[in-house]
Amino acid sequence: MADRTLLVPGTQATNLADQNGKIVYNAVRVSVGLQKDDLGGRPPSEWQALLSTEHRPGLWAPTKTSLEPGTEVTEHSVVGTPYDRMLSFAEPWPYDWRLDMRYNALKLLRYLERNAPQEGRWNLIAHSQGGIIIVLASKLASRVDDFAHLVGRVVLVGAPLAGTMRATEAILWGSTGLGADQVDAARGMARTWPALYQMMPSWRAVLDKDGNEAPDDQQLVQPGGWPGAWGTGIQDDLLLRTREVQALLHGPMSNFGPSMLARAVLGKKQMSPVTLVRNGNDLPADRNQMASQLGDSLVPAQRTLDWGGTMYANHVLLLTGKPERHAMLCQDEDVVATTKKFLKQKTPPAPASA
Amino acid sequence: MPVIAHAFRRLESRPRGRLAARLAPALLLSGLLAAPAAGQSPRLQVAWVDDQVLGPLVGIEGRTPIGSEPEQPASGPIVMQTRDWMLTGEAAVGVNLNPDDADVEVLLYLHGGVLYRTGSDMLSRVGGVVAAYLPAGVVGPAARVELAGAVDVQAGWLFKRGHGHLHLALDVSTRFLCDLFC
Repeated sequence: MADRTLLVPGTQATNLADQNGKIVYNAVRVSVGLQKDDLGGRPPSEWQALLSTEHRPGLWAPTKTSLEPGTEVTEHSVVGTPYDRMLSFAEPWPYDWRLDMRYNALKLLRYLERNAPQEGRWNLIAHSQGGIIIVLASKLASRVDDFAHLVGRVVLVGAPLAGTMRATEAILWGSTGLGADQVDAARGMARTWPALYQMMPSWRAVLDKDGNEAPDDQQLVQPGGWPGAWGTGIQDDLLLRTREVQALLHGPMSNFGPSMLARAVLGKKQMSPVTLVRNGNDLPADRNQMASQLGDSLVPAQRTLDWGGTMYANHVLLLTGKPERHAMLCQDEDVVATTKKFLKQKTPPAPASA
Repeated sequence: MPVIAHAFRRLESRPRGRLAARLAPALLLSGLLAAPAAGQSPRLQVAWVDDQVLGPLVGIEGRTPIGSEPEQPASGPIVMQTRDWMLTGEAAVGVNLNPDDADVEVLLYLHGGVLYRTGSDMLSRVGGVVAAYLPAGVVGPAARVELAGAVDVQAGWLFKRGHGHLHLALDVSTRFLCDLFC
């Protein structure tokens, strides 16, 4: 049997469904306005409870996947629009993108083990959060060789390995995706999602009013980064999970091993936020006050390269010119063509089975 | 494949279809060349050619960027400028609800051409193709515009025995449609 290719999608790219299989969140429908007044039959007043999660400190698995009484929300199918040209050669792996990324990384690891090709290895293509999940899966494997035994090639497209201010944005101000009148509900639910916290920047993104980096205890991954009313609903446990994941992500390709081929694709065209200014106990009132650098609109390219160091940079394909924005980066013809070509490269022999 | 073979046999049996029959392999080859490199998009097309074609088709569109990739440097990232011109090819099959004779007939569609990356999110690709509908036997140039990476609008002037016919088509990613309505 030949290698198999798996696509691990990004945040929001898996539809979420309730226990009856009814889809309660579909990002494509939301983005074109078809789901503005109805999420799985629920009115807007119930959306925050429907999509909020609950986690107990110390447990990666959620204790509740919905705060709506009697409801469980789980992953359903992967949306096709952002991956249209990749789904012709990769099978999608749906997951609940709200949960602790280590929980999903372990689920991915189990899936790779149980469905491993009898001959050959997995090719993994990841978009955005999916890239972090793959890196975490490699770190959570018992031994380096265990992951390399399963996986031959990895392509990380627009993976915010060093974090993204877009995650901060959703937690700090709330997303407008569900409608301008639903920003408070969106912010409330986002503050219960570990994955969003875990994608906050690992660089010092908070500056003081003079433009200098604010001290560590005022950065957003610390409780002190959320002063006064800004911290309503911010969970210390989820901030702790963030610091734990950021520590795991250092040296992102260190557990891939010498028998694996890896590539990270970064776009460098659109402005992507990198810092905000804290003035005393005040954070900016809106998202337009963030400073930006070039990236893919979500992942700042240079910031991520600086964070990753030389070993990471040697695996990067930096797309300049007119690459697609982050959400549609996997649809970019250059990304698709170079990915397909990369997946044809010969890998060193897999390590012997443990 | 038997459907396609049948359609080609019908086409070859008609004198007016010979031009289209000669062009079809070239267009098909273009489509096949484009398809493997940059992934395929399954499509649903609704096509209209004045007095000749009206019908739905399902098919596959493929693209390949024109130009080569840079080599890996000794150290640091590969920096690659996006390749803004690309080949496009599409093959589709459907039914013609407006054939010359009264019967509904099989409809084949082929195109080959080039697209240009605009850098815009909304009007993402623009370009031109040579389009053919068989066995209706209309072939000619068309402009193609892609909206938001999922919907292509095509307009052109297709010819049959020297007579021109206005052509319009809407060509949508079926995965996009499924995200919206499945």
